[in-house]
Amino acid sequence: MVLAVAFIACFSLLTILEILSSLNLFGFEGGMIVNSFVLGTITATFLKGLIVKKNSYILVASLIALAFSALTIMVYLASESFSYGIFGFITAPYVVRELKNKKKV
Amino acid sequence: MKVAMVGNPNVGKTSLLNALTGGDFSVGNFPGVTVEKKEGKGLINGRTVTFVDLPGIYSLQAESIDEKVARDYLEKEKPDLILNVVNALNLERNLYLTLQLTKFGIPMIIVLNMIDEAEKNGIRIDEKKLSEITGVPVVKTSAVKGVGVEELKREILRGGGIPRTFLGDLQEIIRIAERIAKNVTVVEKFEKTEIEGALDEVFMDRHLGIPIFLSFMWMMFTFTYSVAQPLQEFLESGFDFLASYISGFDGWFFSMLGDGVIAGVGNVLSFVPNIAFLFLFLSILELSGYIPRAVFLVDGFMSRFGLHGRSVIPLIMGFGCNVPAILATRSIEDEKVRIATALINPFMSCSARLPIYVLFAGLFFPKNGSVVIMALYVIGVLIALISAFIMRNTLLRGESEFIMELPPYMIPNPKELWLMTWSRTKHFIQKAGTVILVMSIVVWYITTYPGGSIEESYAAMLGKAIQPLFHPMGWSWELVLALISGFVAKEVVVATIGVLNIDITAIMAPHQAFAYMLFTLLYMPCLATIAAIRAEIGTRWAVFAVVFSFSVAYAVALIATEVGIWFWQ
Repeated sequence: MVLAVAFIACFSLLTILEILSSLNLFGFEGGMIVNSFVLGTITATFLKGLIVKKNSYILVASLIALAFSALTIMVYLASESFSYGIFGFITAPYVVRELKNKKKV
Repeated sequence: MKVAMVGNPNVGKTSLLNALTGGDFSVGNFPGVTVEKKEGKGLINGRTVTFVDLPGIYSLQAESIDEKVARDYLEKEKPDLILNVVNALNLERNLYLTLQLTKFGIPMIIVLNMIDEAEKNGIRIDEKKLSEITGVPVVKTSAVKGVGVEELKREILRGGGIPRTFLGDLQEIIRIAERIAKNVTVVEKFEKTEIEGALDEVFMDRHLGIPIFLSFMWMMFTFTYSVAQPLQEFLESGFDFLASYISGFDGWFFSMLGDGVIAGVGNVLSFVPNIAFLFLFLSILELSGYIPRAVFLVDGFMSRFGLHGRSVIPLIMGFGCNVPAILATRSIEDEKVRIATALINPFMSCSARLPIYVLFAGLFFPKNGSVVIMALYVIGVLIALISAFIMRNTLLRGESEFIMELPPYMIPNPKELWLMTWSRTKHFIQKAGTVILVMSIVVWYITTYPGGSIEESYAAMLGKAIQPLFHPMGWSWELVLALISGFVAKEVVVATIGVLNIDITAIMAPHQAFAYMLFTLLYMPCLATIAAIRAEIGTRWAVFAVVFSFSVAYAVALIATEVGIWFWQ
């Protein structure tokens, strides 16, 4: 659950940065409000995992973050459009560990 | 030898057909992919066998059209053999249909498909015991992995066995199915894997399910628009170069080839990457098993509009092409819900409209192209739902409900992913080589003759004659002409703009462009869709669909223009 708190802090920050950049506030620019919706959804999923104390939410939120990160990297390569969703790759080590440990409940 | 493949929806009949024939029929991981019978020929030990894949059905009561198609085929065509494809994960429910099939007295083989998934879940089925009880051979297969296919081929050549007949009323048949399933199955442990359990818990979460669904939709549009864009631009510049090079030669033939064929067809073909990327993403969602969860998630919401979960699958299929989507409404048992679902389907933005959005969004909203495209899709869905609500409370009043099973999650098989994406993209490319090619030549002719310049052409006469109807929106006659030609197929709108070679940024403002996109989203279904509506629910409803959609499109485009003026003036 310590990890969940860390992910919540990280993705909350990414969501805020994406909102600021989509609204061109405080010198940030280039973001998109719909990307911040996705980042907000990922944060909310982590948050629910922490509240209900279930790893399933942390794992699925990490998977979505990883998928979104892969997509935003492709978008950056294709059109040089930046999104803070790129940093979703930080969940990769956790996802790899969990998938390796997957077992029948 | 004629072999009928019969089974419940989503048990892998089409995958098995592909495995037996080496065919490339499109499969899915949700019920209702096959709504018409499909035929495939296979050569087994030098003998030609014709396989007929019938629509997935739960019973032979003939309440829905697909049940009727299956029952009529078995009664009238009398195949040599029935392959009863059974989902090994849910034997009891599948046996209900098996027992009903015994009454035909046709030789049969029971195929326990998805056996790998069943064994992974701790389900052991004694096929010998099942064979003794039913009197027919039982073969275990995994069509996706090719397991048991050779053994099945051998059994097919042996001709199967005449089944023991099980007669009785509905309750009696259910009781027998229960008893047989209990007798032949040992469930060691039936639990979802940790990953499956986690995915279901979160994807179906009351609060997070919908935001996650919307996030996936956004990812799909970003993938379709932004990631595919460099490829689209590369193809576009290639076709532009080719068109101007060819039309540089003297003579009407080179003019037709360059300004007509290459400019029109090339303009449409340059959007193939966008279309392929859309289908790839949709195929991943379908084959992974996520789509039925999304259907389940929105069922409650849909019921407020008089539709139900089963309507969602034709609607989602409508994002690809409205024609198969309208055929897919056959699996809806309630006639009024079926008609409503077919009528609102053209409001679902099919892939043919995507080139129009990409073209206009790229020119008028370069920074927010994905947002504009997603907004158009959402508006299409909202208008479809509002229309359904109105129809179900007026012309098509009535109550309904539905039951849907959730298939297991699967990592999409690369071969099936490729087949699904390619078969859909191929359809788009084929249209470019047929309808769009002919229409490009027609548009080139009417824009070139009789005067030699566009201003003095037949196209100008036609466009200018109809243009007053669209005067409130401020669209030029060229854009009106593109709309008229788009009635044949929506891609022709882009082809016409290509042939006319007009700079659309010079003749319309962004709000007019958005209104134009909205109009192309909503106005009359294309010819093929109208034909499908007529075939499925009748001429009267087809006429209604044309008049209704045109009225809605006109009203929405007019409102968008008027509201847009506040922002752009």
